[in-house]
Amino acid sequence: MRLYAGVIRFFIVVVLIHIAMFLVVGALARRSEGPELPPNTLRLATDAIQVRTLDPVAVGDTASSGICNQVYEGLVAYNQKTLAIEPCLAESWDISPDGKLYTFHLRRGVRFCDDPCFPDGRGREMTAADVRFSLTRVCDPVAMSTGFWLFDDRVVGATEFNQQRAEFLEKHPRFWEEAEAWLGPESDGVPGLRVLDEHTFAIALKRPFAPFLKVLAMSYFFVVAPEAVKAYGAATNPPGKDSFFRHPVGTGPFVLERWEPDVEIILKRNANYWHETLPHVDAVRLISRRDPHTAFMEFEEGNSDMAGVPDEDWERVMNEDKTLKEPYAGRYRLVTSATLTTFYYGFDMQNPPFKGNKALRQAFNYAIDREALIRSKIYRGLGRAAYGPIPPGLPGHDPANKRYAYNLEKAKQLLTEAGYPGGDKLGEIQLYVSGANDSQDRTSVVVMEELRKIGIKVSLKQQPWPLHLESIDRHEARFFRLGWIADYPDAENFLALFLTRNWKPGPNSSSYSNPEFDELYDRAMLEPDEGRRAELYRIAADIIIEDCPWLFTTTGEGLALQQPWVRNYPRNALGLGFYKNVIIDRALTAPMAARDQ
Amino acid sequence: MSSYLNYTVRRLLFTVPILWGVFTVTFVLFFIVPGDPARLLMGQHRDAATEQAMKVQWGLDQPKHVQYWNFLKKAAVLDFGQSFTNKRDVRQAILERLPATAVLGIPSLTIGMFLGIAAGLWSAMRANRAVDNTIRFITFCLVSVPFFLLAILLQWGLGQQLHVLPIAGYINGPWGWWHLALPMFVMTLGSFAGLTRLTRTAVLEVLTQDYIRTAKAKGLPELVVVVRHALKNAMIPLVTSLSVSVAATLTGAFFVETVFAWPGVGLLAVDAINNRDFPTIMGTVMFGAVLFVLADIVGDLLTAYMDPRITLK
Repeated sequence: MRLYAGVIRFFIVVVLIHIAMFLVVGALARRSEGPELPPNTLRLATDAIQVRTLDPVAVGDTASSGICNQVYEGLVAYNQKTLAIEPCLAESWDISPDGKLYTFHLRRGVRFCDDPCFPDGRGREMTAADVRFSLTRVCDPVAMSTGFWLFDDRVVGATEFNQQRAEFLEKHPRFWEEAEAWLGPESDGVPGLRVLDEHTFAIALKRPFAPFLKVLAMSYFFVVAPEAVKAYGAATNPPGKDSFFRHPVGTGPFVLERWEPDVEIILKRNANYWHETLPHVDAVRLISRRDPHTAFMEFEEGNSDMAGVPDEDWERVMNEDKTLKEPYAGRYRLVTSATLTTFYYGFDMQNPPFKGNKALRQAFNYAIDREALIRSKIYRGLGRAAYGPIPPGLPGHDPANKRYAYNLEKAKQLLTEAGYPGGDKLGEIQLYVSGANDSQDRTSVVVMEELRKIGIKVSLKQQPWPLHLESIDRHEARFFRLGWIADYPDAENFLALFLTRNWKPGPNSSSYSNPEFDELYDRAMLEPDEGRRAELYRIAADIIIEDCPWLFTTTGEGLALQQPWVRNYPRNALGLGFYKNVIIDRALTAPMAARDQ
Repeated sequence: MSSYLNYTVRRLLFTVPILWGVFTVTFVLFFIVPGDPARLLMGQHRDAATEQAMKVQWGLDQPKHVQYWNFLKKAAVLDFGQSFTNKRDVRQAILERLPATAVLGIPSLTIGMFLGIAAGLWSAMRANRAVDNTIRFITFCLVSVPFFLLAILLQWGLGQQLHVLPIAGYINGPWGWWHLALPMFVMTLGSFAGLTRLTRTAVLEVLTQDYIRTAKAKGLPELVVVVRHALKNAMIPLVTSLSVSVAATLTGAFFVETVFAWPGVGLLAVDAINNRDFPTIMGTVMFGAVLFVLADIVGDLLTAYMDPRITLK
């Protein structure tokens, strides 16, 4: 009996220790939910809130720009559906007849959100000086801007300013301790960024650049409050100090209420927002669900307003024709959109065997059955076959041009013309891939098999992403997989990948060079008329299709399910969310919840 | 008692070179494995000046030995600097996530331990009978099934079909403790299964010893023989393995953390490796190393306490 009593006592002690520990840890632990959120809240469970920074100039990933898009705004904005340019902080603008001077008339009465960085804690009115300050930061390596390439050699004086700041950096290794590292709103470092008066701002370009407004709507060019950068410190903050990276102060429809990494992000309506009726929702709550399948379950439970369909749930939810199966079709809304993404296999145009051998590159292009690839289990019909560099949805894309439609005979014949009949003398070609994503890896295996059919032996060389990029930079990879996600919705963004002046370290991964193409590109940039420019894009794309520095593969398509109570949340080709326009229609919530029970 | 204190102090002093070794290996590995973190942040649009600015601020522009010394000096006072990717203070990020890791890891481990030892004992006492075979079969299945599969099955069954437990997420509000249930259950099953099998083997081995036969011959009840005589001796290999599993549970819960969206240290470490985020890699590795070393010392002390044949020198 003594033994049993001992065992029982022991277990009581263990249980008490656990309770004590839970109480202590519970008191220490961050709670995942702040105050109760209003019913009019957009709730998203997503695997994509690994936000790195909320400093617009340093944003380089979609998760970060997704949040920046809610708390900040630029001079102009994209239409949430068509991505056409709309007024935003600038009410209107004029473009000079020579296409080199853009004058923006700022909206009056736009105020920053309230924040302790302002003298009285209340957001002051945004002025042209703030726009200059924000755009100057884009050119400043001290701010660790990742968007300078968009202004480089385009905005008057931007390149010189960047050089000057780079020299400053070189001389001051501990630059965050130097007063000079700080560029106040009064600094006019870039001559092309001009404050004309409090509500008028101008940008002078070195030469016309037709897609410039589309560039300006990108998150790099959002307007930030100089007081916040100064108070919280951006790149210039000494290590350990709280950072502007985590403390956004902008003019956007929402303010950042809470950001717990790997737990949640809460956005609240900005009380100072200039639009009278927007945003429709009072708050947005993004909860982190790293596993897409878990995120989808939360959606099915009604805890999330939107979700993608993960691979493991696909066959349960989707029909082969990309419609919803029952009972899902009766419950959810399906929204799809082509995305401005293209996947390809690049050829190194400066090294054998692809250098100077167009027939060989064309043979590769004829050997791939892209339509079968899209229909296969890898893509399940999501996406499109790519026959050129410009994805569908952009002016210059020519849907009729399917020149490299699958044709094994033609491929074999071209291989012979290329000097490698039967592929024999070619030896084994290494295809460099990066294990970024399962469907991409499986595509590479298909490509390998397809090429074997015309006698080309391919082996895969799998590397981590940073190494993959370095192998391409060093011209070690002669045949390599890459993709391009549009930075802004203009065909120029894709055609620029073939410019001679964008050779490495620029984004011309194939090191393609063709003076005729470069000249056409430049002509298109000078062309203010959209229709004529689209025609120039098409001709330029035809040159690329003829020369094929890439093995064109597929373009992307996005798909999401929405709860019936979500309104006005279309998908667009950049995958950008415009939470301010979303309507949560509570009348539709009730029957939904009842059916779930 | 003084021998324990002496031993502990000496072992703690000895952890310094061990941790220094871990630091050095991590440092060397980081720089051997190619992949430039600045390049990774810049993506396909590169800008030499910004890349340089990043390297300067991260201290990566210095010669390697200077970098080594600079990082070491700071790491000695547990300052790992700021994350390359999001500029958060690494020590703060680890401390923020520590409660999540602890509140999931420690109970899973202790509950798994008690249940595991009990089941192992029972199994050993009924060796090769129905009970033993059942326990062995169940634990065999549990150690063979991957954690994440178990996690997904439970999530589907208990969360989505029966609606008794939340699918995923971190503790929120007074009733939010239910969020702990599923991940803890999965982790507990893991440590339970391993320990059951280990206990069974250890106890069975002890049960063949002469002193057990003597105890039984004295007419002691079976339970007393097993708990007081057999288990005490069988505990020695168990304690050794436990000290390792303490650290492993606290650092290696990555899959469970991913599936159940639990904001622990494991997720932080894996993200850091993917992003070549050196300060965070170093911080989480050192965190794991300290845990291992401490658990090992505690394990050795316990072993010495239980086994009079072992003297602490």
